[in-house]
Amino acid sequence: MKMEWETLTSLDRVQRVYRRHSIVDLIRSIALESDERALSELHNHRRVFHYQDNRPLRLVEFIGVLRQRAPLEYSNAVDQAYDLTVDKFSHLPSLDPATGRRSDGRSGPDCRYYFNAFLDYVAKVRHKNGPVNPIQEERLSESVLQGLVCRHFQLSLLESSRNAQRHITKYEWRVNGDILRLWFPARLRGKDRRTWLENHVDSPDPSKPSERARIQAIINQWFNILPMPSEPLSEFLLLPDERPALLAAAQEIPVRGFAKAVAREKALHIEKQRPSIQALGPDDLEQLVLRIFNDLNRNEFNASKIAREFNLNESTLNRFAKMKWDESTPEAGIPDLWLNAAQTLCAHPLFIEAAQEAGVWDTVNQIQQWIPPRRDYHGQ
Amino acid sequence: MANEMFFLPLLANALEQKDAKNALLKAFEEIQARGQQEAYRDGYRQFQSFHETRPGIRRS
Repeated sequence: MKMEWETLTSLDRVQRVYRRHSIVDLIRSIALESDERALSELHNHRRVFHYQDNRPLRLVEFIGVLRQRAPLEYSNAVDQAYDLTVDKFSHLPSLDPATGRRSDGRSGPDCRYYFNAFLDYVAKVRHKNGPVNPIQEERLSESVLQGLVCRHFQLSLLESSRNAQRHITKYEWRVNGDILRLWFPARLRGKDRRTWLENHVDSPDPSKPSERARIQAIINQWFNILPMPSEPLSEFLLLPDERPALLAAAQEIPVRGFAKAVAREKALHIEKQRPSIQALGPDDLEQLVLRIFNDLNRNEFNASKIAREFNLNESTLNRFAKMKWDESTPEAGIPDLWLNAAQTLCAHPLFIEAAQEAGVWDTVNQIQQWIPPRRDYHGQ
Repeated sequence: MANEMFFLPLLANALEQKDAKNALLKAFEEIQARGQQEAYRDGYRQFQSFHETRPGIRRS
């Protein structure tokens, strides 16, 4: 009995040590040392994920909320996507005593791969931004981890949707030297697909931004194929420059809400702002952005009042978030916050899809292409 | 005052709905409808110019 009590105490003591680890430390232990206790601590005790209502959630709870909130078009794939995403962030292959290596012979996700991706991304951000205090580092880690989980839930949805539609296969239609990649019923052979397309699609033009979607819709209607979910955004962890930040912010919109996603992104990349805005510091900048969006929503925006409250010059606030800008030269005139808001919107796949479908924003694809050269303040 | 940016809360709120795509389509309709009204004309022009921005040199 005494021994059992001592063992429990010893376990408690070990667990208390893990309780003090930062997220990065825990994830490093998981990724590099296959540390099961660190994995248990991350899953069972860290409520660092937030959905719209801001209730702090654990990792698996958060994936559960993503499952509940998934768009209806994914309904046939959402349960499998949930299982797959949970596996990606929790499955550690078991230890083979004979070889001393971790391999349970199961083909499937290994969480160390995903946690290594997290460490690489955090290292890149650290390298770019320079040293930060432990609180900022923890917030950055939470944000990156949440973005990574959202991203992989999206990819899991896509994979599961494809699994649910195994009767369709991809076909590359060569038109005017370009290739259109289209989904067809597997029963239709390559030569027959080309003939069908030539007979049913008028004036194909691969140079048009939404041509693939137009032709796929014709195929879907004819062969009664359920629409494939939208292609996810490009690999947010692998993209260069500033694009990951905008894509990560876009991915956070359904989770945090638009204002919080933009505010968080601005605070995390405060070094891109004009010096007078940088002087606010990340926390006040985040509050400023939230305040502006909140007042805008309530139709109560008053620049003088906000400038006074945040100890800013009114002209500084106007350059940041003026309500009315010079429309004749939008490139020069659009204030920083609205420009970033537009970029974040245009990195959101559903926004692009809806804008194209509504026909109100014909050039949205062009906007998507110019996201990489992000326009914050660069000191000119 | 905020009529000049009336479209942004409409888009932001739509993106937070469960069926975001349909909510966005409705938001676009709403923006276009309001754009016909005198009070929202400037805002509608700004909505249109939102997508005309291109990367370039920021005014200092």
